[in-house]
Amino acid sequence: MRTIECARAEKFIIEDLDERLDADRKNWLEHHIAACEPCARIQAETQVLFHTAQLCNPPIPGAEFWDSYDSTLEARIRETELLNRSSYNWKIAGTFLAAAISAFVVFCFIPDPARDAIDDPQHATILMEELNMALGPSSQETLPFQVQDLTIEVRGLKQDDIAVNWFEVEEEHG
Amino acid sequence: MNDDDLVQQFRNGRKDAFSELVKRYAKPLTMTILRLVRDQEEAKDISQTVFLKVYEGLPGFMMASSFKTWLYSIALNAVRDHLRVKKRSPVADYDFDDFPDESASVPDLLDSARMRKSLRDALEQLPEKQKVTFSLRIYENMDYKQIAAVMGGTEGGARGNFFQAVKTLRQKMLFSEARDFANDNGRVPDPEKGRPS
Repeated sequence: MRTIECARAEKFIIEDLDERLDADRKNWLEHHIAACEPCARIQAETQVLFHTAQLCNPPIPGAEFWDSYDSTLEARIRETELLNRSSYNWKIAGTFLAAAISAFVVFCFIPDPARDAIDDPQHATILMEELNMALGPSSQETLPFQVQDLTIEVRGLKQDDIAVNWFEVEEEHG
Repeated sequence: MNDDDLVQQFRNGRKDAFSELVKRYAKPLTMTILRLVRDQEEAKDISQTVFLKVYEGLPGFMMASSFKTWLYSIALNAVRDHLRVKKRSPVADYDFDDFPDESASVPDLLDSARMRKSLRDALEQLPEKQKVTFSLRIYENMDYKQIAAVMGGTEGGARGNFFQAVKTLRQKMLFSEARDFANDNGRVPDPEKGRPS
């Protein structure tokens, strides 16, 4: 019948073969084993197990294996470096390409609201009326001139600038 | 020059420092992997893959653990992935007609090739953690702290895994057959059951 002491003894047997027990525990174990045949058997089997494990190493591969190991590893490292460098170059090229495309899109395809408004006849009329109301008197005689000049002046200018330009134009032609 | 110096040199651009690390660890690492996968070409491939990962990872290695611990933890993950893909099943092909002689003593069993095969097969049947712990403890002489760092657990857990591995191996090895055989003849007590009546 196995007792709690036997379980403790089994733990000590493994510890003794693995790391060595301190003197007190070793003494206790020896006394227990002397009186307990199953634990003595466990100790003998565990000793065989540890010894067999040491003999159980797979055969060490020969020199040819290690020569090919070194050369293959070197080749694999070189290949990886090449791949990494190439992928780095592609990343850089891709970044520049994306930046160039973005710049192209910004400069060519983003609509200019003022230009749209003036190019569209309906919007241009509304714009002219608003400008006439805001900036001063309008007359049919000066209207073609206003339209012509205002079309030039409106682009990219704020309303105050337009007012200034408008009066400058009026003075010049008044 | 220790491993940390070599790591530092590699980071400073000296490629030959990596060659020195390979020279130091290629053999023990490959042998450890070989014990787990049991095929030389597979072991070589896994071991080289590990060094490739190390080569790429060294610039970012924080040195929180030792280089050896880091290297072996990468290797164990690689072995785990490899075995998962291969789904290797345990091998157990004893010739059951070939029981040891009833008079066979422990020394007789000691050098027998059958005992070694018995141990190898019993190892194959162990849970992965126990198998790896046993291998690192017996063959790499790692202490439990190192094993815990490599496997990502506690020192007590590593110790427990080793104890359980030894216990299971002892129970699964040919000892059990020898005991049954001897018990039938009323000669040897079964340690698991106690004294023969």
